[in-house]
Amino acid sequence: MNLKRRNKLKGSALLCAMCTITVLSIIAANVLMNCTTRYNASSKQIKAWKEALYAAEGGADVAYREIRRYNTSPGTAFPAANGWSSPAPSPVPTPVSSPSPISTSWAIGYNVSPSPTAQPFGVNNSLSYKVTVDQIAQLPDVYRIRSGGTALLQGFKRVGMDDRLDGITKGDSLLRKIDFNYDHFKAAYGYGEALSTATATSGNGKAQQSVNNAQITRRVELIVVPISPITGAIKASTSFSGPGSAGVVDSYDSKNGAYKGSNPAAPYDADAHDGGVSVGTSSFSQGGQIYGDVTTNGGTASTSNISGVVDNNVAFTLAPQPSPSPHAATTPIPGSSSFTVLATAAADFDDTACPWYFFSSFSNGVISNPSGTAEVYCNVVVTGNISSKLTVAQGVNVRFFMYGNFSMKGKDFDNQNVDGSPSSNPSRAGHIQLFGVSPTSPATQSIDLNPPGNFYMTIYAPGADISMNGNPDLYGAAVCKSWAGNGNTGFHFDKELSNIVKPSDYRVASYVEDVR
Amino acid sequence: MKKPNCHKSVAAFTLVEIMVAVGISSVLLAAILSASISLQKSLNAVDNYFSTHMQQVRIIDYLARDVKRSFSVTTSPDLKTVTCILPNYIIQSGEPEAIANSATIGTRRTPSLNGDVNNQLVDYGTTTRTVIDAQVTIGSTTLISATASFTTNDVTKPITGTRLQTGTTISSVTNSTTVVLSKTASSTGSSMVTTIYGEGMRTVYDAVATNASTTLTSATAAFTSADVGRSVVGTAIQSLTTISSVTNGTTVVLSKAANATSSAMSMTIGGTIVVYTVTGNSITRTENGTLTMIASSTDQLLPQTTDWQASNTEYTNSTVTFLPILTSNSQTMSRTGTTVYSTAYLRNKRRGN
Repeated sequence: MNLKRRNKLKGSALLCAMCTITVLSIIAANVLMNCTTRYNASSKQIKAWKEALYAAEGGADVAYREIRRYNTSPGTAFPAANGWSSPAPSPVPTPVSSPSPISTSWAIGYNVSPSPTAQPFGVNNSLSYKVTVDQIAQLPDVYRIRSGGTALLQGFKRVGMDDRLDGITKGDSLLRKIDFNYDHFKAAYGYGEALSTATATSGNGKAQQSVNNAQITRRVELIVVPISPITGAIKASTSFSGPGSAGVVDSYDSKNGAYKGSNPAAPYDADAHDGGVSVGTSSFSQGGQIYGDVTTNGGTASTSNISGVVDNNVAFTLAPQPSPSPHAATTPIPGSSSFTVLATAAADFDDTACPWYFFSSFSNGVISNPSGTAEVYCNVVVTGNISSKLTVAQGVNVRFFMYGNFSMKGKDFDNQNVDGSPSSNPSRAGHIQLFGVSPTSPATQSIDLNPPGNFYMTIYAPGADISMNGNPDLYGAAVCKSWAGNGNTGFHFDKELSNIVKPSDYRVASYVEDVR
Repeated sequence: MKKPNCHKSVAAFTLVEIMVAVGISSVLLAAILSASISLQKSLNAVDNYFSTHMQQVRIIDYLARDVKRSFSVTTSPDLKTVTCILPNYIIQSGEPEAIANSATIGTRRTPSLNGDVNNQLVDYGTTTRTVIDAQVTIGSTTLISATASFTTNDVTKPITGTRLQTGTTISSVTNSTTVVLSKTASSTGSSMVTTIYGEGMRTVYDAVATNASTTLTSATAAFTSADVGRSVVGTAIQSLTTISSVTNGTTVVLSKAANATSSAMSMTIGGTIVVYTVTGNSITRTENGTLTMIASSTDQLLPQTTDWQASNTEYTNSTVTFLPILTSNSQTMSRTGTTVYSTAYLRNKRRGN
């Protein structure tokens, strides 16, 4: 009997202990469950939501890099070996039909054989992106990048908050749009343009597509626009010494025809006072009237005889002009500086069909047009000097890459093109573009423009010292190391050159996130 | 017969044993009860902490996203209000494109680009359209396009083209193919690419504002009655300023006086207005004046400090410090503030503004 009683006492103690442990365990489990739920929501979901944007922006950066490469080396941009396909599979993206049909587009990451369905990266390939690039405007060329980034959501599928919009949840899933079982965006909008009420078809891309893992996708759209090396009449990195008191710096727009003077009547007056001058140091000596804005870097320019805004606190640097990289097969040297441009179907200077000519020096040059006055293009590389005379027939677009110096009289510089036509290049000055390949210090480069006569040309020579002697007039634009007007020279900036000269780079002008 | 041994047969506890047992049990029960209460408090604290934390993170996420996709972000002088102007990226019901073609509702808008090549602005305006067959004659104000489908709604709308002067607008509509412009054409030609701007978001560069005055002028804005209520953003314009009334095509009255004098000011008209406001214990987010509960919070958020550094730079740091109030069993539990830090990327510079 005593033993039984003792056994009962021991059993009660064990039971009490077990009950106590059970109660404590339940409470602890409840705490842990709440912690885990909140942790999943606050950590994993937020992490994936942010990483999805990083993935989207990473894809956009890849596309942006290819656009910049397309500007400098079209043949190597958007390589198929990396998964790019062109044109982008319709309807991704939606082709731009206005103002004129533009079919230039690329895509990566979409289901185009043999490219994969997405470009994976990150730890365990937890991130991926899909990108399309299409051109939405021409002259200047403007590109649109649409990138979608996806981040896998780690953990169990049903670990999140719900879509209730009340005082507790605030609709966190509504913000982050988590795809637990299927791709909500594809089901609602297909490739992006389908209406939520539209019937799902292969054309609009709508489909109830399941996902292997819970994931979050974010989409961004970037607009990329060109940066022109021509930003004003004269841009000199070290010094500017203006023309004599009777000289002038002003502007016009060749798409409206030839230069009409410094103070023309309407409607030409709107383009007459944009002859901006920028110098990268304090070395600024004005000289004659400047119709435009003036910037210096620590100078003392005043508004006297300057029609526009004066800012003496603007610093800048000029990118050196590198040696050219011909992408076409080299054309046999014509034998002399007088030659006829090889007849090709080249649409611009960078067209792979555009011929390249090479000279050790270029003197008494005559470049003829094989097609009457039709627009033709050629590149001329001169490892020495350009001097004596130059004649360029109407319709010829020539781009010089000069390693030496340039010296010529205006009367010997014969640019037979005219302002106002054709629409693809209405600038007379834009038909002769002189690029001075930057010399290696201590070597120097000089461009001497001598009287009598006038020059119609565009100069991009960031390492050159330009000297206008006497009283010639230059119609065009100049980017140089220094500029000196030793006489009553006239400098007439053609505003159309900003659109004609090849962009020096591209920039992102707009960023918007598709929050649907 | 032997009398049973009562002392041996009685197995009960002594009073001392019972008292000791009761004492130990009481201590154990008290410990268990205390542990249970502590765990419950911990549960409540954790629950409240995460709930507050989630709200903070959600608001910062929304704020960062809105700032990032804005083309203009301004703060109020008291640093308690942030105003974001967003592009109208998605075509909404009731907008001109949607009225013309309901199939466009909910789709993405292709932007137009304004300005010269080195100062291009991307415009997600609502009614901009482009034709490619416009004909003009130098010195004439008549423009003809077989495809433009002009209506009286086009009067006063800005219009641009390679042969048109800057600041040209449509003065009158002769018929569906012919309009009279406010300025003469600068050259003669046909098949001209022409853009007719609508009543959506647009940017002008010649706005003139006077300090302490609500009157604003712009020779090129081509204001219409449709601009009433739209937001205006500029360096001399206060946050949350809208157009109260339109005096004429070049003059409007603003809802708030300008805070500086400026000429040739860049000013953007239109766009979606998103406003974050710290008011007492709450943070609210409104979109075009409508409270969006999804990103607003009125629960347990007490702003301790606000430090907005949203100047017009490429990068901006936005720091918000909250002091959550944690409660348990009606008792207020104190804790130090939680700093939520967000680095947002403004695109004002990248847009060339």
